[in-house]
Amino acid sequence: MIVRRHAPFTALFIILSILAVAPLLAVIGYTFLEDGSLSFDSMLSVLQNNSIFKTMQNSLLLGLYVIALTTCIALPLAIIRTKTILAKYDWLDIIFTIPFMTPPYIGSMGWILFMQHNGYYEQIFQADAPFTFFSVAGMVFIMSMHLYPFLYLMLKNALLRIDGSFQDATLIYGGHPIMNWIRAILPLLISSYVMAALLIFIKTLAEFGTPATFGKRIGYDVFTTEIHGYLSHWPINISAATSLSLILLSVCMLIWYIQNVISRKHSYGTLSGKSTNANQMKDSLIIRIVSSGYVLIILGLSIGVPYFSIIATSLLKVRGEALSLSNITFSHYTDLFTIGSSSFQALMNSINFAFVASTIAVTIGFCAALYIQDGKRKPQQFLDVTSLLSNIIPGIVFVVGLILFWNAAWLPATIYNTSWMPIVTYIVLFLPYSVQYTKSALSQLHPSIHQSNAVFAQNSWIILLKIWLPLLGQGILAGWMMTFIISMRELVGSLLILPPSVETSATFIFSQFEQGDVSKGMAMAVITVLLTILCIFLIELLQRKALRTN
Amino acid sequence: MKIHLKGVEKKYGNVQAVKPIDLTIEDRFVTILGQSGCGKTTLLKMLAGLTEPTAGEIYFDDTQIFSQSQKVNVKPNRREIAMVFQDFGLWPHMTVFDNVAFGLRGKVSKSERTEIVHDALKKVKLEQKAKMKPGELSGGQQQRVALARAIAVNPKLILFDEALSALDAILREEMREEILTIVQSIGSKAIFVTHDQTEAMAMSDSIIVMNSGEVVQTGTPEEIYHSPNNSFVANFIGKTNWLEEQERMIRPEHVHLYPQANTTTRSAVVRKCMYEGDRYLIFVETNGLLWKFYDHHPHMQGERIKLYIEENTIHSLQKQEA
Repeated sequence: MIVRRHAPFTALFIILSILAVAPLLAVIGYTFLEDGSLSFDSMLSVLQNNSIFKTMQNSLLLGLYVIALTTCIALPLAIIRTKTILAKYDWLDIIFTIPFMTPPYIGSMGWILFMQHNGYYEQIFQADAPFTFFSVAGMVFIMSMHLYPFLYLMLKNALLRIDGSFQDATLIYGGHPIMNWIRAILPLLISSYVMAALLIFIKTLAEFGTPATFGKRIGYDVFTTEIHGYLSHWPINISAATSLSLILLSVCMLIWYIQNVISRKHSYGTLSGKSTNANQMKDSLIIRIVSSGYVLIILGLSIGVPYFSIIATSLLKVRGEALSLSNITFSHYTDLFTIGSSSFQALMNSINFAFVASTIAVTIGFCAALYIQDGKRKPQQFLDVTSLLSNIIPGIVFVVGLILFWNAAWLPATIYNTSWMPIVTYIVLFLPYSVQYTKSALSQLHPSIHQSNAVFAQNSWIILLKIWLPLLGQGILAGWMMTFIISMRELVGSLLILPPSVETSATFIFSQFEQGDVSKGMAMAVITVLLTILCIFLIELLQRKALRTN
Repeated sequence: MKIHLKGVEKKYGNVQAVKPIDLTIEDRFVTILGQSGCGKTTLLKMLAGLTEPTAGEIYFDDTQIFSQSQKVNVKPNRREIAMVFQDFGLWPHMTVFDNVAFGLRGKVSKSERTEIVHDALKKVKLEQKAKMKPGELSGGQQQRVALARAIAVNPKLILFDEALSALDAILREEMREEILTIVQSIGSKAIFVTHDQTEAMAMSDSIIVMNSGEVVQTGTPEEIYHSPNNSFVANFIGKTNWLEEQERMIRPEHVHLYPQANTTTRSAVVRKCMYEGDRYLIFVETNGLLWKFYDHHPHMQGERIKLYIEENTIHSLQKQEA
């Protein structure tokens, strides 16, 4: 009976340990163990290397700059979307998730193609760019254009929750509107802001795509590119890579800890019952023009420009020649879909790996979410944290760990150098999505559903088939799609762990862009983003439907 | 069915949610009454098998359904019980019919199922809504579906967890009566958990009063009302006038403005007067204590009055405790 009761936990525990915990231990072990004894040599040698401080400084500064710029973009946007006539248009939020969902390496390739010498900017405006885009500022700009939707959505939700009766109470008891805002709204907003900003910081530190494409051109090295460099360029230095991974990991953990402390101390239940936003919006013409204009500019910069660049490039017959109808061809797309071509093979690999990975991840995530429930007991909390590890820990750290773990000499069998390696990597990296989608579908149900099941169902199969699958199916499917689409274009893991001569769409785009046929690469990029956008809309649709049926 | 608890307790870490309880429940309609957080829902869930006690044994008649020492823990769906929840706990994706039929799956044939479900829905007067989803029904109707689901499985015991709290006052009173009639008609036993003392008084043959994880008194509603064991029960159930704080008490309906048989007098000053529809509740100060009694006329604040109290209805707590 004891065994039976603990069986689900034990099974999940073993799976998650092998997938997520073992690689992390491998990183720590490789750094600090030398011939079976504790040693700090490799860590010290990395710390004594001068370039480490430069790298660290680069990474941290980049994080701060990106926070600053995303704030400047997102705060006005959040205010516009809650206080002006634009508050009505909820579909705008779906549009705003597009830049966030666009793979960052594709976004920065788009900007590079647009701004580079003889790029689309010069062609369109018939003049040199008035400023040097290829600088740290440009990199901060590109990354902010990718990350601002995240901050925006968090700020907007915070503002929305504050509305309702809080707003009414400040109207009745407060004084001047500006003082009201400073005294009542701002303190309530600040905790959400700080949390979102710290997450932006972590995301910036963990980002690989933009530093690898844009950063490399301007010689701006950060943690992720250095780790990648140590593992992929001669001389290969694994202990330097693991040491650097651990430093990056510590920084992220520290920030995550601070974030947790802040959220525990300073978050308030800002959900105050009836928060119907009934006050009519009566905006003056100027406000309407300014707010719509702002939204259009941001969308233009974050979607318009990069998408224009990659689409244009994918259609060009001869690169370098002007954009004109006579210079347009679909041959790159026909190449792409020619069965047997390397590009088609890469696309199929991506789809296959992503399909298997997301299916397994969703199964694990579904079981984990069901087991975790409200996370009151210790084993539940433990599984909760483990399954969400890769939300906090940068992907590249996991990738380094996976390489080390699956290369360990004592393993009786390994998946290294097989197609299972990328699949396992994607599962580890994106498991949090499937867990969270199922969890959020579960949280919309009454807590007594579990008890109803226990009292009335004759066996667990009936519960699974008649209750969980129909009730959570849409959430699970949304999680599956999310995992599928981000696995499909994952870059850093794929660059490091793919077996020899196997390519995925992401590595294909990357290698074609770096040294090859850029147009071919961009055709693949267009397919990738189209699939992404399609999935965004499908997920949105599923979730709306799920909300309505519940 | 007789329910017997032997030293049943529940600890969460160091917090004792339910202290060791020894109890035999024989009456048909039993209420567990207490304030929120007193452990009453935990006790109910232990009976249901939804929460595992940290110690003790539970028997339904002579069958052992839980024992910590012998590692017996019959699953909820094998205990021949049903449960009605505060938030109904209906499966939102199933029709009313399927919700009610669910507990019968794997137990009876399909045609039999249809018959039982229709019968149950008829009892709760919802035959017309069989094809609807729970979300399309009102709160009261949803609670009826939950009740139909409970009676459909023909349980020996139905557990009601604050089942009426989510309903409005009028509906609540209607449902009370309906639940009693229906549960009686299927010959089942019922245990209600509630914090509402009027509900407890109206619905049960006996009441179990709980306070901070302990059973403080069990008895018929009348016993509990007229002879509370201690000051907690006295204050928690009904309105109490203390002759001496924590020692001797009298209920407001035994305090009058005019002399009656066996009454003694005391003087008082009116402090407040509240209209209750059928009568006035009057707060007075007497001997430095705040008393309440009823009258058919309002009284002015500050008015000096004379109270006549029925000596033989005075209840002494010390006598009980000794």
